[in-house]
Order: sequence, then C-alpha cells, then structure tokens
Amino acid sequence: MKDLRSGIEIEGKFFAVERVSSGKDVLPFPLKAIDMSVPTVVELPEHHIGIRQQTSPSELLATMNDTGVWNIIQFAQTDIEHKLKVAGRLIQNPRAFLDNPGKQFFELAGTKTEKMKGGSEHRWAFRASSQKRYILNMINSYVFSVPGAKALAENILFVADELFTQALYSAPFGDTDYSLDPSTMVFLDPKLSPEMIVSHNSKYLFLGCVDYFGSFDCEDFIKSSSTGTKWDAKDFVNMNAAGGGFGIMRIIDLAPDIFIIIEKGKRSFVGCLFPLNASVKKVKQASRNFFFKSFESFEAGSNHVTLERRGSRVHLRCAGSLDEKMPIKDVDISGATEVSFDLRQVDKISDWELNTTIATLQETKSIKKIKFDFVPMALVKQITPLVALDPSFFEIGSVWDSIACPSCKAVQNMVLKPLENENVQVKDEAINCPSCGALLK
Amino acid sequence: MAESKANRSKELRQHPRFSTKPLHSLSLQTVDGKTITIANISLGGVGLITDENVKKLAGDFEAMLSVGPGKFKIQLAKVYQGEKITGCSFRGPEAELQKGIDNYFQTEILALKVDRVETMPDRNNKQDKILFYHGQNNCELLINERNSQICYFSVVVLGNSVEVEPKKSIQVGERVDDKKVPVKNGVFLFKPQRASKHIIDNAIRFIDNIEHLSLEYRQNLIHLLNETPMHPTGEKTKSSRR
Repeated sequence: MKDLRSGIEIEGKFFAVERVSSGKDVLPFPLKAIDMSVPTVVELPEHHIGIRQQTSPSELLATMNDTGVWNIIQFAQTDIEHKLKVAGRLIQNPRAFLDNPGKQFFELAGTKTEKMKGGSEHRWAFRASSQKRYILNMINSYVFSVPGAKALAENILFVADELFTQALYSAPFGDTDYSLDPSTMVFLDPKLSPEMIVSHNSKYLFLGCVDYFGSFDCEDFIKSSSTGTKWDAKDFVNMNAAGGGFGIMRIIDLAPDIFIIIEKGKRSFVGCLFPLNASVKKVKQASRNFFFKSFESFEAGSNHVTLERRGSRVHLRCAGSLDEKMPIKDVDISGATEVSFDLRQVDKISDWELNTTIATLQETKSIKKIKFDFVPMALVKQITPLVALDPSFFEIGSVWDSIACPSCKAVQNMVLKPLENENVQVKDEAINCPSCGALLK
Repeated sequence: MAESKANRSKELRQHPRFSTKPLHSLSLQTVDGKTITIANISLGGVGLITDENVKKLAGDFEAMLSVGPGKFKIQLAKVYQGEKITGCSFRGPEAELQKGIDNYFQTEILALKVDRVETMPDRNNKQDKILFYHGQNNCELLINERNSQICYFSVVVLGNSVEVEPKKSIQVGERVDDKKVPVKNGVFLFKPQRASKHIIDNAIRFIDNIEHLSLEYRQNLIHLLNETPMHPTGEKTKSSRR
C-alpha cells in the first residue's frame, strides 16, 4: 500500500491529498477556518470561517467583501470554540437557524445547563406599526428578568426598536428607489407576521427578529458598507431598504456578535448577542463577530439544491440524486460567470440528467467556468469524461473520499486535489490519522 | 299562523336580518307622524317593537323609513304580530331602498362573511394567543392575547383600520392605495387619521356581527373600544428610526 503523500491516481489523473479531517474536529467537514489577518484568496469562501485579530467592524466588512468569507470571528474572543461551532452550523444548516436561532446558538454552548437555559426561546409575533410599544414592553420586561442584563437594557431596547422597524418598514419592500412616509402605518397579513425572538443563558442574551419576506440583500449590504457607499442622514429616517442597511450598522455599533441569515424570498433573520454582566463601554470596545449567510433553496422530494452567490460566482450545493427530480432546472443562475457544484452529498448521478444540466448551463452565455467540488470518489468516473471534453470550461476542484485508519479504525474525511492544478503539490510530510496519529495509507 | 311562520323563515333565509342597535340611525314614521321603534331590518322588511301604535296600524300601511342619511317612502304589510315584535314586509321595495339598506349595513354584511383563520399556532409561545378573522374586501379582526388578556386588537373594515391597545390608545388609519409603492402581497399601508366616532362605531358594528366570534369576546372588545381613549391624530404612530 502506497504512502498517501505521493498522491492517488483516479481515472487516469493524479490527485494529491489536501487534508484529512476527523469527525471530532471543532468544525464539521468540509468547513475550514482560515487566518484572515493577511490578504488571502479563498477558494470556496462559502465553506470557510475567517479568524482575525482585533479588527474594526468596517475592516471586517471590507475583508468579507474582498474574500467572500461571510463568517468572521475575532481571535480575542474567549468563546472562540463555541463561536466557531456556531458559524459551522450556520453554514451547514442555515434553515435550522431560521427556525430556532436562539436554540441553535445555545445548543452549542459548553455545559448542559447552559444549553438547556438558552434553548428556551421567547417569541412575540407582530404585524402592525402600532404594536411597537407592546413589543418593546415585552422585551423590556424580559431584559429586567435576566440577571446581568440591566446594564445593557438601553442598547437591547434600541436594537429591538431597529429590528421592529426593519421588519415592518424595510423587509416588506426591498426596493431602495422609493421612500415611505414615516408616519405610514404598515399592516401585514398575519401569516407574514415577523417575530421578535429572545433567549439567554448565564453568559449571553440573544435577540433577533425573523421576517417572512427574505428581501434583505446581504451581499449589497456588505459591499455598500465596505466600499464607502455609506448611508447618510436621509437613510436614518427613510422607510426603505437603504434605511434597513443603516439600521444594521446601528446594531453593529451596539452589539458584538451580529447574525444575518437570509433565505431569499422566504425569510430573513437579523439578530445579535449581548454578553451579560458587561458594561456598555466594554461592549462598545469588544471586537465584532459576523455570522452572515444568504441562500436560496430549491427542493424536490429528498433532493435539494442550495444556491449562494458571491458577485458573479454561484455556488450550488446539491444533495440527493442528480436525476430528473433534482430541482436544478428551477435555479436562476442568470448573470453568473462561474458556477461551482458541491457534490459531496450527491449519492448518484444520472448520465442523462448530468448532460442535460450541463447543456443548459452551457447555453447560459455568461458562464465561463463550471467547477465540481467534493466529488465523491464513486462519481469521479462520470465527471471525468465531461471535464475531458473541454478542460478550459470544466474543472474538478476537489474529490472527497472517506478513509479508515488502519490503526484506530476511525473513518476520516479526505479531500484530494488534482495535481494538474498548478497550485496543488504533493505533500512533503507524512499524512497521519487525525485521531490516533498513525500513518495513513 | 303556521303559514306565516314558514313565510317568515323563508324571508329570513332570503335576506340577512340586522338587529338595530343604538348606534344605528334608523327610524320609521307613520303618516300621522308617530315614530315607531325598529327592532330589526332586512332587505325584505322590518321588525317593529310591538306597542299600542303598532297594534293600531292597518294590515297595509304607508310610512317614512330613515336609513342613515337616506329617507324612503315605503308601503308595508304586517306579516306577523307577536307580543314583542311585529314583522312587516316591504310591498314591492324600490331598488333605491334596497341599495340604501345595503349600503348602510355594508359593515354588518361584511362581518357576516368573516371566517376564523388559523395563524401559526405552533410558533406562538404558551402565554400568547392570536385570533384572526378575515373576510371579503380585506376586512379583518385580529386579537392578541397574553395570559388570556387582550393586549392588542385591530379591526380593518371599509378602508379604515382601528387599532386598540386596551386602556392606552386607539389609533385609526385610512387605507393608502399608492401604486407607486412596491408593496408585496400581504402588505397593507394606512395613513393615520383623526379618530372619529363614526369609524369607531363602524368597528363596533363589525365586531358585533362576526358570527364566529363568541359573545364574550364581542362584549369585551366593544367594551374596550368604548373605554380606551381615542388618539386624536397620528402623531404617536410615527415609526421613524428614532
């Protein structure tokens, strides 16, 4: 059996082992943490969590805009492991976050008691402007019932006010070209009632609001806030989408951890985390952490596709069988220049469907590149001939396989990269089992 | 008598009958100037409170019926005389009279067509409960309860919204139909307006006629509408970003 460091031949092509990850890692496979203190180009930013050291919010947003990595945690944080796990879960299961954001956050906390405490969410639905006082009263009562939250009560209420305003005056419109008279009263169909959500454990108070429009443009917000297109005074009072961006900047000013999760056209969650027993000054000085995710989801039975955009690059994460039931046909990729597929959760591919999908993508003239990532070893045979047809258009970015350690028998995840890619080289050092350290072969 | 009872039932099936309330501006005057109290009205006729004057009326008689701002000279025929109510039908009612009644009781007619709509029961927490009733022309009633106490309710009827925070304030709005605003489905805009007695009365008439709403709720909501102070203008409704 050959040493893995020299690479593996698959379907006549050589691949080098990029990494072997244990299932016990803090971050679930295939996610990776990356040091963003230095300028870096990130392949598949949707799968990365950035780590930085004591950086201002505006610099963080600029980094997010440059790299496409939308989850960034500052190294100074004491709970860095907990927050890495939270970012990991958000990337991999954003819908669970939209269902129960507080529960998802606290479930990953250290002790069982802390998990239990934070898991209990309080929710208040509202549907009209005039309910603001009622909602703020509820939040106020809640805050005063939480030990260690009083000092930040004003910040928390301000954020609740912003979230309320955002849910009724920005989310239902999502168009920056108009301005609503601020005295206008907005009523929503009760089925679309936003919900203010709050929960806490002994360390944090989590506050957020979910709306059922999913209209907030996360990418535009990151771009605007990092490229100097700042919001001005008129956005401060305007009841429109631009006002929504301004509102989020205000929230960033008041809370250290910001969550923005958008399921496009369906629902949005904007929330934040307040440390308990902390002073306003301490919170103001604390480094900011951003947990952002914007996606579209398409489902057909057990098959589903999740789409994420970063500029003109579209990332499609597929799960199930790539056959006629796969909802790729419903996915709008207009304007995309590069489409990358994450095939790790695809169990089989029908040749006909693959060819049809590819033909459809080729018809989209703007597309210059189609890349396949985390291709399961069993599917490489089907993808390789396609790549051979036009290597300048198609590319296998990475192959995924599982490998059993000959010593501890643990099954590990392995990522391989094609050696023909000039950035990929065989490793000098031996490749060992991340669980027991034995040499992997 | 059995025949007249059957006729009466048939009549009721044909036209919804509205019980008159002090809020309603309805009156009937006989040709000799006597005012008769109306108990109820439908497109087919009126129910009169039986008194000596009513008993003295002939089987067919002429009268002046006032329905809100409209006055109609009508021919009535007694079809039933009970101890409390005397039922009279309109003799060949004019289209104008029917239109007048229809317009005046539009609120009640809309309330009769309102149904209970389930609203996210799984997402509500244990303390909070939402009751939602919706009907034609976007008429609706929404009640927010917390710990079994009504903490907010809103009525939308005939283009007006009435929102009540019990014992705190009533806010009234007028529907804005601005095509320029990119409003998504399920979003309604209202302009604050001065709370007038007419709009509040209309909300009361609407609530009072929602059949699917229990009597206890109706009485409670009407009580709260009467007890809560009116918000004179839309000043407090401004939701600007601070």
